[in-house]
Amino acid sequence: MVLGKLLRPIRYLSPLACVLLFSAALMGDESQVDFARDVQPILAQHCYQCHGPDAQARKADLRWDDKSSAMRQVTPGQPRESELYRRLISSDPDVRMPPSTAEHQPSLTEIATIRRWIEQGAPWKQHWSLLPMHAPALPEVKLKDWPRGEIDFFTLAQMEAHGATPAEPASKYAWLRRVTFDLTGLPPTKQEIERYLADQSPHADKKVIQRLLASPSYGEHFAREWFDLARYADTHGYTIDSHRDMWRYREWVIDALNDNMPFDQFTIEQLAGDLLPNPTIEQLTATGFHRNVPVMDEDGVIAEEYRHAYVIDRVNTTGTVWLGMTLACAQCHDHKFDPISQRDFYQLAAYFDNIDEKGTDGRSSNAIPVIKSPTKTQQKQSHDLQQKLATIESEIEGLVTSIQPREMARWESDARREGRDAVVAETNLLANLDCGQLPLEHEAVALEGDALLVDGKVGQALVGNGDVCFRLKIDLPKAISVSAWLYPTIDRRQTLYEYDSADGNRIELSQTGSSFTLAITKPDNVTTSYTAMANAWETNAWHHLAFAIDLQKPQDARLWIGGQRLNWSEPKTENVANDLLMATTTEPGQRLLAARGLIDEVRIDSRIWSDEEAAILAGSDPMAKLLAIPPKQRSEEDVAKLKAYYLRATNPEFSRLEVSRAKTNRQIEHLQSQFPETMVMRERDEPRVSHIRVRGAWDQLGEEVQPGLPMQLFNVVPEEKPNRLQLAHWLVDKRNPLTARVVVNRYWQHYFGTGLVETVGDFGTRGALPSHPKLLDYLASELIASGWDVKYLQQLIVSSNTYRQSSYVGRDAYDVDPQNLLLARGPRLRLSAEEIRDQALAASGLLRSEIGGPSVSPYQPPGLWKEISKGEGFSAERYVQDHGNRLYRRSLYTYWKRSCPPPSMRAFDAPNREVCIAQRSRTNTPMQALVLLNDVTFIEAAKVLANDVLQKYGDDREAAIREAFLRVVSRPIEQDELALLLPLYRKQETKFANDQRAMEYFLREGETEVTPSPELAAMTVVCQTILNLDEAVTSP
Amino acid sequence: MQHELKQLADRQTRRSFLGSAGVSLGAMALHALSAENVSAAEASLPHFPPKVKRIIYLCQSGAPSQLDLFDHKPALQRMQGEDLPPSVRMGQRLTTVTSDQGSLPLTPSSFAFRQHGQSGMWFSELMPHQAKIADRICRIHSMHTDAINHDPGMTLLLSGHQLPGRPSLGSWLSYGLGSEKNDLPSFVVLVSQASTKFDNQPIFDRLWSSGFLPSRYQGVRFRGSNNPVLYLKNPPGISATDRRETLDTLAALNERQAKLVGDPEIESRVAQYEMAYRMQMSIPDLTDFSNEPESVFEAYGDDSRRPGTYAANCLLARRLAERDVRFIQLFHRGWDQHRKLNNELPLQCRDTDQASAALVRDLDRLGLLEDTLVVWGGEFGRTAYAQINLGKDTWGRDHHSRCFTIWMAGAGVKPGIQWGSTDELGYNITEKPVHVHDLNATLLHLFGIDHKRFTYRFQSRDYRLTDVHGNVVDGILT
Repeated sequence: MVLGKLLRPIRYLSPLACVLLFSAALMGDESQVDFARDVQPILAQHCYQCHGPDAQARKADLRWDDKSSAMRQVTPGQPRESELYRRLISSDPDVRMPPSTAEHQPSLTEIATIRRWIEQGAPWKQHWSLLPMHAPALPEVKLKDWPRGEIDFFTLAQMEAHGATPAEPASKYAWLRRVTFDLTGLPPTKQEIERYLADQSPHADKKVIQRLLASPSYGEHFAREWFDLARYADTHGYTIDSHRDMWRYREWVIDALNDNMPFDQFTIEQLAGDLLPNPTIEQLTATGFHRNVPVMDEDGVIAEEYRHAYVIDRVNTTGTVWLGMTLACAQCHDHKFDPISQRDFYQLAAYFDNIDEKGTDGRSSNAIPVIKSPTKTQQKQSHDLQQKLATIESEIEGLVTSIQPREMARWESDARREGRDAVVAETNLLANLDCGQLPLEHEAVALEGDALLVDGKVGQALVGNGDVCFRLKIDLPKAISVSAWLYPTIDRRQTLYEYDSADGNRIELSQTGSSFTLAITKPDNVTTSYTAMANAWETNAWHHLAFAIDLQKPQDARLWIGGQRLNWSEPKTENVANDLLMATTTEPGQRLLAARGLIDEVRIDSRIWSDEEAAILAGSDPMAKLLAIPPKQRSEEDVAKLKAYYLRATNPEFSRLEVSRAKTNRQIEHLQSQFPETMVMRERDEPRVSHIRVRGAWDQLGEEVQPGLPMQLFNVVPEEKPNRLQLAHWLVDKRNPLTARVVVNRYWQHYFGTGLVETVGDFGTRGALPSHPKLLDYLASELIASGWDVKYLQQLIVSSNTYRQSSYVGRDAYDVDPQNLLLARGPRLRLSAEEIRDQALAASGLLRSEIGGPSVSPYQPPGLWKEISKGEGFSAERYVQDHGNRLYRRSLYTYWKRSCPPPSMRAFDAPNREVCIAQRSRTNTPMQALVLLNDVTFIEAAKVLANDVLQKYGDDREAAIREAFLRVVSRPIEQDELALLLPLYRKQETKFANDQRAMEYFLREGETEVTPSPELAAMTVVCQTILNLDEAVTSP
Repeated sequence: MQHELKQLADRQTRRSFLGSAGVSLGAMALHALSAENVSAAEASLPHFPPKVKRIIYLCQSGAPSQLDLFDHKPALQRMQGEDLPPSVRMGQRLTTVTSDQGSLPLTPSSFAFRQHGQSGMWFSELMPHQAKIADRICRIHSMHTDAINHDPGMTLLLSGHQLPGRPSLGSWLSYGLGSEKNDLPSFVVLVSQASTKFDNQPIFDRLWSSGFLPSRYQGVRFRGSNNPVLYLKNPPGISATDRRETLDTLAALNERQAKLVGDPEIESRVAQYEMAYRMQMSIPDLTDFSNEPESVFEAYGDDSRRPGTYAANCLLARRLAERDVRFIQLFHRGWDQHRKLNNELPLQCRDTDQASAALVRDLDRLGLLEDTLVVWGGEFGRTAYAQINLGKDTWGRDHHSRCFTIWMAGAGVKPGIQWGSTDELGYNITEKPVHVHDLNATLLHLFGIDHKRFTYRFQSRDYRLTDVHGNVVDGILT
C-alpha cells in the first residue's frame, strides 16, 4: 500500500513516462485513502506554513500537525460540514484557503483526496517514524518455499501484493562478488572464488559471510562509509585549509567496526567518550567525530561566529545521523513540517556549546582541544617499556636491599682512609645540581632554554648548544664560584659566565677550545680582556672546570681546569663600537655555563674558592660530601645515594642496571615524543551560557537555554546530568523509535542502493514513507534485541534470498520498477569511487593490506593544490606525492584536502567532506570514463595485472586473459567475450612490436617497473579494457 | 510538485526515459546520450523566454578596490586623514584586522580618475581598456553583501549562503538547464594566478561544487596548461586509433552485457564512453589557439599566448562560449590589497584589464554578445579608510561589505548605464542597493528562471540559490 505514495509523484510526469514506469500492478489501491501516504503530505505542503509546528508563524491558533486542533476543522464522514473542505473549495477569496497569495495552490486531485479522506471518516495517525516500534508478525506469503529468512517474508508479501514474483537467484559468482564488495569493499580473490565454487556444503554461503565479516577489510569498508556522515578529512576546510591530524580517529572507527562494537557504544563513545568515567585514550580519540567539523582561521573573522557554526553543524549532523530529522530547519524558526521548535534546536545546541575550543584555530596544524593519542603499537611499546623499567627498578632495589651492612661499612672506612671524604665547605652554597632531572626546580637557579637529559658524568647530564644556561634568580652575590663537569661536543665559542649590571658594567668569561677569555667592559664601552690557555681540552671527553669571580675585582678572577689554576695573560684594552655593544646587550643579571655539549654536577657558591677547594672539586668525588656527613646525621636520601656509590664501586651488575634504566627512560621519552596528536571533545571548566539565536543569526542572542532533549520525539530522560553523555544515551535508548530505524535503513541503502525509507536523512513528515514499513521495524527490532549487533544485522540482510536475487532480469523489469522499490530483483549498483580504485589495486596485486596510519598521497595530477592555495607559510598547500607502498594503500587512507579533494574520487561522486552526507549520488559521466582510461593509477594496475598473468601462463594468451578477467570481474569469461578481447590483444601486440618507443613510454606509466615487451603492452591494453567494463565498476 | 518531478527525474537517471526494448543497442546508446539532458532540460524550465544562453563570469577573487578603480570619490581627497565619522560607519562590523587599529583614516585613491564614453562613466587610470568599453557595460555601484571575510564572502556570492553545503551558481544552472553540448561539460572553471605576491586568497572546490545536487552538476576545473582537462590525454604510447579500438571492444562487451542484464545504466555507460571520446577529440581543438589570428592575441594582450594566465583564460572562455558551454567561470586571485595597494593593484589591473575588455569586444565582434552575458566582480569591496598599522607607504584597504562595484556586459542588460550610488565617502549605498542575492536572482532571471520557483528539496526543505531572499534588478534589464 505504502508503495503508492512513493510511486505517486510520478503520475505527474507525462502520460508516456507513466505508462513506461509503472504497470497497473504496481499502483496502490487508490480508492482507500491512507492518511500518512495521501493526506498528511497535502496538509504539510499547503497548510503547515501558517498552521503547523512553527509557533511564531502560526495563525488562528490552528495546527494541522496536531490531531486535536485539526479535528476541530473536520466532521468525519461529511466533507461539506467540514471547515477544512469548505475553505478549500470556497470561491470567496476571504474564506478560501490557502490564500491566493500562497506560493503553492493545491491541485484538484489533492482537494479530492482530502474530500475522500473526510468521507472515509477522517482517520488520523501519528507520524509513522515517531510511533513506538513493535517487532511485527511475519506476513502470509503464497510462495512458501522462497523465503530463506524473515526478511524474505516481508519482501515477498509486498511483491505478491503487487503481482510480482522474485527473480531467480544470482549465480554463485555474482553473489560472491556482490557480498564481498558489500562487506569488504574489495573484489573476491581468485582463490576465494575457486574455494567457494568448490564448496558444495549447505553452509558454503554462511562460511563466506563469516569470513568476510571477520576480515579486517570489513572495518575499513564501513569506516569509509561512516566518514561521509562524520565529514572526516585531513584539512580544516575553510580558507587556508591547513592540515589536521585526525587519522587516529579513523583508526578508532576501523577498529570499533572490526571489533563489532555494539552501535549504542559506538554512538556513546563518539559523542561523549570524554565524559565516561576514566576515559581511555581510545574513548577520547573517538570523540573526534564532532571535531571533524571544518574549522576557520581567516585573518579578521570573528571567532564566535565560527565557533557557533561548529555547534550548529554538530546539531545538524547528530540529527541526520541518529534521528533522521532535519533539525537544521529549526535553526532560524520552529520547524515548518516536523515537531521541532527553535527552542528544541538550541537546547540541543547547548549540549555542544561547552567545548573547550576556539572559533578561529588551525592556522597550520590542529585546533584545540587535542590529546596525544598513541597508536595501538605505540601503546603496546609504551606498556612494554614501562614494564621493563619496573623490572630494572625492582632489580636495582633488590641489589640495594641485599647490601651487607658490614661490608659496606668496611668499604666506607677504606674510602675515608683514601681521603675520599674531603669536601668543600658548604657555608656559602647557592646550588648543588646533579642535573639528574627536568624540569630543574631550584630556589636560586633557573634553567633557560630547552635542555635535554642524556647519560652524564654521574647519572644524567644536561645537553645544550649554547642555548641552554643557568640564570641566578637571587639578588646578585658579591662573589661567585662555579664548578662543573663539561663534555664539549664542538670547539665553538661558548660563554661560561656572563654578568650585566644595570649601569652598563659587563663581565664575560668565554672559551673557544682550550683558549679562555675574560672580558671586563665598563659603562664607557672600554673593554679589558685577559686570556688563558688550558693544557688539555678536547671535544668528546669530560673536563672539570671551575672559576671564581669577585664582582668588585673581576680582574682577579680564578680559573681552574682539572683542578689546575690557569694564569691570565697581560690585559688588552679596546673600545668596542656602540652598535656592536647594543646588539649584545642583554638583561641585567648573571648567566652561567651556556656550554655546547653536556653539563653535569654543577656547584655554585657565593664566595671565592681556594686552589685547594678547586682541586677537591675536580677530584670530584661526588661521594665525598656524603662520606663527610657523620653516619647518624645522614638523611634517607643521603643513605640511598651512598648505597648507590657503594654498589657502583663493588657490583658491576648494578652499573649495568643503571645504564639500562637510563636507556629505557630515554626510550620512553623518545616514544612519547612520537605519539600522534588528535583533535577531541573536552568540556570547558566554566560552562558557557547558551542562548536561542534570533532568526538563527549567531550574534542575535535570544532567551537563555539549558541542554535539553526534544521529548516530543521520544519522552524518556536518561539519568545523567544534562550533558553529551545524556544526549548519547537518549539517542540509543532502546525505546527511541528513531535511531534504530534510521540505522537499519542506512544499512539497507548500503546493500540495495535505496533505503526502505528513500530519504535516509529525513524521517520527518516531508521525507519519504517506508516502502516496507514492517520490514523496517523488523530489522530495527532485531538490531535492538541483538544488543545493537551490527554484524548480526548485516548477516541477516546478506543471508536473505531477497539479497540473493539476480539482477539479470531483462529490460522490462527495469522499465517497470526502475528504482527496484519492490525488491523483486537483486541490487545492481555502481561501485563507489574508493571501491573502484581499490579493486584495481587488489586485482593487480598492488594493494597493500596494512591497516590504519596517517594518510597517504597517491598519484594525483601535479599542481592542483598549489593553484588554489594561499602559497606558503601554512600547511597542506602543496601536494607531495608519496612513493612505493604508500601509493597502493586502500583509498580511505588517501589524503583528503577539502578545498581540493582527489579529482579521481570527485569524478565518482565522492563528496568534499565539508558537511555530513547520508547519501552519495551515483552518476554516470564521461569524466568517469576519462579517469578509468587515463589515470595512471588504473594504467599501472592494468600493467601489473597484465605482467602477472603473462608470467603465470607464458604463451597461453587465452589463459592469461581468462585469469585477468576473473580477477577483475569475479566471473569466468565467456567464449564470445574472449573472442572480442583476443583480436584486440593481437592488434595491439602487432602495433607495439612495430613501435618500440610507444611500447616503452606506455609501460613506463606508474612507478612499478616492468620489462617492456609488445606482449606486455598489448596485455596491458586488454586489462585496461577489462577494468573499464561496466561490469567492473558494478556490483552485479 | 515541480521540485519533486525534477528530483524524481534526476534520480531515475536515464532508466525512466529510455524507449522500449525493441530499439537496437547502438541507437539506444545515442538515446541514452540525449537522455542525459532530460533531467536538466525538464519541461518546466525555463519559466519564461531567456535572454541569455551562457555566462562568462570573471570572478575577481579577493575583493577589488572599487574606490581605486570605478567609484570615484573626490571627497576623500578633501577629507584625507580624517577619521571615518561614526555617523557614517553606524556601528558597521569591521574585520578584526582593522577593528583594533585605533583610527580609521579616510584615504583617497592615488590614481587619477577620468570620465569615459557617452555615459560619462568614471574609471581610474588603472583600467584604460575597460574604460574604452564604458558604453557597452552596465555597472552597478551599489552591490552589497553580508560577509566581510573571503571564505564566507565567496561562498555567499556563489552559493547564496556563507557556510558550506549549498550548490554553486554554475551547478544550479547546469542542473536547471542542462548542457547545450555533449562533448563539453556545461560548467567549466578556469583558475589563473596573480602576479602579486601576498594577496592570493585561497579558493576552494566548494565554489564550483554541486552541494546537495547530484554530483554530475559540479563544475569541471580546467587547468592552465596544454593539458587542460584532467585525465583527457591518452597515456603516452596510446594513439587515438588504439583508443578507438579499445573503446569499440569495450562497447561490444558492454552491449553484450546490456542485453543479458537489461539494466539501461549499461547503455548509458557506453554512451558516456562515446562522449569521453568526443571530448578527447574536441578539446584539443578548443585549446589550440594556433588558428587565432595575431590580431586576437594583440587584443587580449601578450599574456594570452601563455596558457594559464587570466588573458589566456579569457580567450579560452570565448572559445568555450563559441562551443555553447553554458557557464564559464574564471577565478583570478590576488585582489586582497590590505597593504601596498599602490604597488599591487596596478599589477592586478595589468593582469586583467586588457583581456576583460578584449573579451567583451571579441564576443561582440563574433555576435556572441547577443546571447552571452559577461559578469565582472568580486565578493565584496574595500574600505574608504586605510589600514595604517602597516606603515605609511605600505597602506592598503580593508574588507568592506556595504558597497562594491561590479559590471556586466552583453545579453539582457542595458549597456552604458550605471546603477545605484554610494555616499561621498564611498562607504554607504545611497541609492538602489543590490544584494548578492539580487544579483543571483537577476542572473537566473536572464536565463528565464524565476529564482523563487527554482527549488530543490533536500532534507525537508525546498532550497533555492537565493535562500529566502533576492529581487530581480529590473532596472538594468533590456
